[in-house]
Amino acid sequence: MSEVTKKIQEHETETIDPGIIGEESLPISSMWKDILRRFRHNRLAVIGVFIMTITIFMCISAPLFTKFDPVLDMQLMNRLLPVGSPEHILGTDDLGRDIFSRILYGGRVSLLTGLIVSIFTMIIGVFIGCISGYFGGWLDNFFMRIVDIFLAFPFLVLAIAIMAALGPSQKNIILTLVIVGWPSFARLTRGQILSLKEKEYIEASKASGFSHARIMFFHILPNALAPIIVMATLRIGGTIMSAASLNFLGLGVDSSLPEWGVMLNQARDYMTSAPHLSIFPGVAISLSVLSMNWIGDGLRDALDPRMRK
Amino acid sequence: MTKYIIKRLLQTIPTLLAISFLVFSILYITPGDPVLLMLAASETSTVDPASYAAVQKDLGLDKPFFVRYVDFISKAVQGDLGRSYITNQKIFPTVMERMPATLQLTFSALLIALLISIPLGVLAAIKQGSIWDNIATFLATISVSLPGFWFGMLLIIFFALNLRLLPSFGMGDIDKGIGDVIRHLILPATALGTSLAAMLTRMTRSSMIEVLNQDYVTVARSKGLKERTVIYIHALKNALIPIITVLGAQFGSLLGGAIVTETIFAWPGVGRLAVNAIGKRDFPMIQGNTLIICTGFIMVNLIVDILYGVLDPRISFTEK
Amino acid sequence: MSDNALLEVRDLYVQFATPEGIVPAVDGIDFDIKKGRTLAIVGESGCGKTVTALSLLKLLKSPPAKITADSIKLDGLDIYNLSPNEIRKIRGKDISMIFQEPMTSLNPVFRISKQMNEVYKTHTNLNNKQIQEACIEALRTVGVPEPEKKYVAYPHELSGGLRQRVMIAMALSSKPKLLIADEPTTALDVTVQAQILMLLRRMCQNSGMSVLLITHDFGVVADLAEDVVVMYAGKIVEFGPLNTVLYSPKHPYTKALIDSIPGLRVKRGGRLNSITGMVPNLLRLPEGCRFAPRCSQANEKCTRLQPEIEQISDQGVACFRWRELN
Repeated sequence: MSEVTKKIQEHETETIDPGIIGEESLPISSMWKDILRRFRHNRLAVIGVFIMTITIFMCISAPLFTKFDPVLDMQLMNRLLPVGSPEHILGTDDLGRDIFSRILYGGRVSLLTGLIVSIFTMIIGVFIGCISGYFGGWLDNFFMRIVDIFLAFPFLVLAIAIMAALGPSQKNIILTLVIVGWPSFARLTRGQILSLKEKEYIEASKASGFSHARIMFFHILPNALAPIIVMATLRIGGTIMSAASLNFLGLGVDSSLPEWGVMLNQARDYMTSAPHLSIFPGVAISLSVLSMNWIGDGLRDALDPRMRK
Repeated sequence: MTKYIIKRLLQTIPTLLAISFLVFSILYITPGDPVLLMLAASETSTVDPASYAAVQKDLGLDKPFFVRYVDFISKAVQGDLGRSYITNQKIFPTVMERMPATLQLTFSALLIALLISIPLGVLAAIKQGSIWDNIATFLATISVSLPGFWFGMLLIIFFALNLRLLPSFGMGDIDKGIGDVIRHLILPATALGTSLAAMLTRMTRSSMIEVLNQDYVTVARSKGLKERTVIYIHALKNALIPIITVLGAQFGSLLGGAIVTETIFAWPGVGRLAVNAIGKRDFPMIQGNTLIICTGFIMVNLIVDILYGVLDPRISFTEK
Repeated sequence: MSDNALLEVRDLYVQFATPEGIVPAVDGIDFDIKKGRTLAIVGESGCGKTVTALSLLKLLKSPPAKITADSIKLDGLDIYNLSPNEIRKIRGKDISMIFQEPMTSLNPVFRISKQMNEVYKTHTNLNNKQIQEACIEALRTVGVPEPEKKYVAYPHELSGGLRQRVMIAMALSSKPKLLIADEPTTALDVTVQAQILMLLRRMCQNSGMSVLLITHDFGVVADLAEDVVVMYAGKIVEFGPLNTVLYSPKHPYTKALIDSIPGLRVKRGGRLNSITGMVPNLLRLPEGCRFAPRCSQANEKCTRLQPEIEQISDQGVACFRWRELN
């Protein structure tokens, strides 16, 4: 990939230094309290938490909010009802299914996908990045070459190629996004590890005879966590967007199942006759991504005020 | 300078090889038997072993993996990417035929993004902290969260279907005049370029703010230069350097977005080709298409690197 | 106003609005710079001397900075009430400035030629060829070797000392009445420092220009200045001709500053003296004299009341006890 782009990416993954965590440390409780306080003062972040909480709640307890089954309840007599119809506040789609219900149930899929992909890319990426950064040498070279190659691809191009190979399903979307997503975590973690590795207290730990694993996981990693957590949070929003895109392209779930991207794809045929079909799934995606972005930005600012743009 | 270009060109070769390997092996893990697909046979019907062997040999599928890979590469550098499973047309010309359309779309999107983001970013930086700055930053944050395909659909609904100002699909015909081309280009390029514009606005703003705090800006003022000169000549050129550097990587996300945009707007480019090919399980086409797109991406990155060397005089000659 | 004062500053205040409160970086100072003479403003970091210099040309970002003064006059003309456009005409022409950090003072993406030409293009009517000749000649005058080559070079191709020479050449190109030099040698190697100081001395003697020299280094003061102003925590504590301030300082702070410089008054082999304590936080200034907390001679009155400047002919001190202590 571009030399210069690499430099930029390395710059973007600069280390945050929240303070030393470890066996000799700042009182951890007061550090977390500080972080929480800064987060709470960030209005957008709080709004984000608010929106996300409501969204998660409504999606999980969908049956509380809607009596319609998103897949099976087709009322062919009531196709393409507009917004504000009795019983169907957001109208119905081309097969008479209640849109509000499909949005709520679809949210389960999207949010869960976002969470799972984010967690797994983080685990895999952090693990590889740790090993790569800590041990260095040929292992580091090997992994980073792989990371470079993955990051050299345009994200969606690679994703659809993998989806082509695996076949359409939400599970495969999750798998694909994890495969395409772990490299940036690996690079970030490695960068953190490299910069922390040289600090004196790590030398001291080594001198005390601690094992590599212990040093890596108990001393270095906790200090490196800040930007990793930020990336994972922001990644949730990105995943929701990518998964919706893949579904929109018809590469994912069957169109009868509720999923926000799929719903938008279906809406394409009815842009003139029923434009309301195009609006709500998009709003749902946007709100979810937006609130996660606000939360992620808020975390970044709270964890290290120096990183403010 | 030429040495630098040649060096960078040579550096792309291992990357290209690695990408081709990846693209090749991805489809190797495909479930399903391509021979059967080719024979248009279903799972239940039987295929006589002779024709199976014949097709297999024809597709080169009887040879081991690495032999196939080397075969693939050697043919690829000659411009032969095989034939489509479905149409039996040669892949390379089919893809290249549609490349100009995609390039037209992506570069227009890039242009729109730059035209919006740089002035906005500079203004936000100059008036940092003011209400304009806050509005611009807020809008940028929101635009980044908007799905590109949704935005495209909204644009179509509003401008094409409601207001009937612009066509909702297809590419313009240069024979019908440049106006026709532009009318067809506006909506898709805007849809594609907006989230890039949002990101670039934020970047321009923060880059500009940092530059405006540099000593040489104060020095420029102390020489009695007009404020306009200080900002748009002294500061801006420096502020643009990080922007140019990310343009290469951002072009990649534009390509990804183009896939979706082309689908919505029925734009005859390589993105739509890829999606159709996937739907029809046309593996050689997917393979060839992806490889060409990635190669194009590498080339654009190379051009951006060279551009960066031109912009920042500290780079070209100090690189070892 | 005295006849031979080129610059006259009365009651200058510079305040910065920060989230923690208003910082009084410069808290009511008066000084004059005489024609053809060099005035040095000396003090530790944070005493307000650089802010003073920048405020004369309104080079501070306002907000958050707020500059107020009774009057600032250059050669009898008011430059305090000028509009931004009018101030711009003075910058680089009547008053020029050279800065502390040569490594970051030149725009890295433009050649030296462009950056030097700008000054001529803004303030003169010369054509391109004349400008080029003038620039190269200016570079030669400030001692840049191979001036034709350096003229077309980029800043990163020049060393710190050379860059500073370029800055000096640029600043002097329009033959300004006043040159403001903000710590011109601080960021340079010791050997280069000496060269640049020599250069500055030569340029001053040849042109009859006045210089406002900002520095924390009394050694530099001794080399270049004819008049001295000593600042502490935003206020002037002592001023006078060089020899007076250097050889019979009256304010305890001035004495401490001079004593702390190796070689100036301390004999070789003697102990180095440092000033105990730290510069006060401008947001939490003491009630009385600002130097009192660090002053070995402070008494009860010093901690309660702020001393005003007592002026006798061309010197001044702001200290209650200066008579007793001398």
